[in-house]
Amino acid sequence: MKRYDDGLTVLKNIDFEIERGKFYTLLGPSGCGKTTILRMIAGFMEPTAGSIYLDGKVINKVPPEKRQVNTVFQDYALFPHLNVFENVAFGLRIKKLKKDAIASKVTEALKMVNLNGYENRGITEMSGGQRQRVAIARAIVNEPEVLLLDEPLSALDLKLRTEMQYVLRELQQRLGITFIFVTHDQEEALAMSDYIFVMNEGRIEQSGTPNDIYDEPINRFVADFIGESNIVPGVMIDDYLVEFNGKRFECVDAGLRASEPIEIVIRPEDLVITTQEAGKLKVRVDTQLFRGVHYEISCYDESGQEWLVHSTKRADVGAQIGLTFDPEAIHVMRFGETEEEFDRRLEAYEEDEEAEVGSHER
Amino acid sequence: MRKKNGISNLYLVLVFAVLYAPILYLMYYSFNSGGTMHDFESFTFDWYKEVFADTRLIIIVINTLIIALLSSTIATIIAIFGSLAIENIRRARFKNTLLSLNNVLIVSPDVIIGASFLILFTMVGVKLGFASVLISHVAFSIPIAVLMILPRLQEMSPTLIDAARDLGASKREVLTKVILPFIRPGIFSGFFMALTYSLDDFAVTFFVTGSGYSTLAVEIYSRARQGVSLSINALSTLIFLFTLFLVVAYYISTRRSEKRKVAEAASRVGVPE
Repeated sequence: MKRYDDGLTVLKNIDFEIERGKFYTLLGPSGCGKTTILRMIAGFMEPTAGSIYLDGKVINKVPPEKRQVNTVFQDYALFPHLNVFENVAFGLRIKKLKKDAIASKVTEALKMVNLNGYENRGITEMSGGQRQRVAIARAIVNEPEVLLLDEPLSALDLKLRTEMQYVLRELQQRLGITFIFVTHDQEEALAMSDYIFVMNEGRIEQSGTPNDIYDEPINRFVADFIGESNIVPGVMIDDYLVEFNGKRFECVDAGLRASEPIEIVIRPEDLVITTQEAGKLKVRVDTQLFRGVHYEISCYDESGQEWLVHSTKRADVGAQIGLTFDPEAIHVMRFGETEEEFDRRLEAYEEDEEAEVGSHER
Repeated sequence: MRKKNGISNLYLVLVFAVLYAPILYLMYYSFNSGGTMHDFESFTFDWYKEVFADTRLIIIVINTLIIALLSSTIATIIAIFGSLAIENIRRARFKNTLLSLNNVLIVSPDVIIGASFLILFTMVGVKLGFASVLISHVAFSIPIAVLMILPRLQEMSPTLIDAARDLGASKREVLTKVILPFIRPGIFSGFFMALTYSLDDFAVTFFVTGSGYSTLAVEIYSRARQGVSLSINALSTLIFLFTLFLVVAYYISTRRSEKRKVAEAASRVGVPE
């Protein structure tokens, strides 16, 4: 827990564990406290209550210079009075390594980020993407146990950003260092992480693999923040049967109270356009945007509920069409369910199912 | 357009002529064998010989240089830590108050500073002489040095310090390896400003100097009052030439480092990607 002097509690009951050698992402809107967590792990801030462990030892009081943790800063924080080589060598020089050891380590680190040959350049002569890579090299050259990355890609343009996502992912797998990556960009998080913590207002809303979080968001916030989604209020009639929009649909969720009010999520790409007769939902096409990979179609049904559809086929604006979906496409969210309850419920009925129908693929 | 240029050039020439005329007039008569500042009789180096033969004057010149170098060095060191302290203050109001107090010292008249130092020294019982002059010079140089160093410090991103600590630097190493190199240009300009302020200070020194001790500014003033001797002209000419030499040397050295930078940048273009 972290509290500022003015009484504002920034983080509440944050409790998570991370495994060595994986790529973790803290994902959340700005001001949700993800950078605060990072700064506490790095040692620039002390938690007001609670502890931070590294290798089983409490490191609350350990100053940043003594932690086996290095950070890549959002503004890179490269030293302008030093050239590329000296920037990368900074940590090694402080550790008083031998000159030839420093030279070989720096050269290797620069090679890893494809910057060999730039050793003697000044920082001001480097482009944004190059500075970014110098900052990464400067951090990894110290062989930290954990590498913290504070929105390192946010200042780059889209093309460079995607390129750097590959570079970072590859680097993490090659080095086997634990990465903790902070971002507000959900695509970035989904693309790179082994494990994501979705944060909101100082709380971890949900944690899981990118697939889990995308397919089974725990609540409205997560569903909305991670990708686009159709969120509709409904009622759980019975196990595997849900009612929304005045109709009953087969689904794959179970273990809820009968006639419990819930919210259901259907991802836009799980909705398939069909004829009005074959459709489970009858809607009218309102607007259509061409997104390159797909069309983004906004439809309204009779009750005025909006349905967002991602389709590779185009639709005609104003036309009446049908939408169909698989039972698996419906994801049920209970109100106020915590992550543990959610996991327990999933496990309970998944075991059930396995016993009944064998393995069930999600 | 061309005519306009001509007029503005003429204006500039006139302004500089007016500015430099008294100095050139003074230099011209320093070579006069007549002993007065009118009626140029014949060319002579006598006054210069007199300056160099005057051991008291030479000692005063050395005194002045020692005071200037010592006071500006001490003032710059104090100003570095002062700037760091001011920069570290979180509360904006307190910070602004300190900055205003700093600036007031620069703006306030030297006479008042000199007089108040005189009162202080006599009250505390400091003997007027080298120590009192040095202390007062240090004191009035600090605000100037702070004013030159602080902007550079404010320019520095706080994440630079975080980054250095993150990479294992202790607080001392952060200071010596990151902060000081970053603010070095500010430190140099602060030092040179303090140096020039100390070298040509008259008012403050005049108040706090004792009977046996004097700096160049005070000495020239008292000699000029006693009666006109052309040796003062000779001395002034020498000082003027010395400052001219310093300015030219500074200009050449900066030109050279700039040229080197450009050359380096050009050679870097050829670096393989």
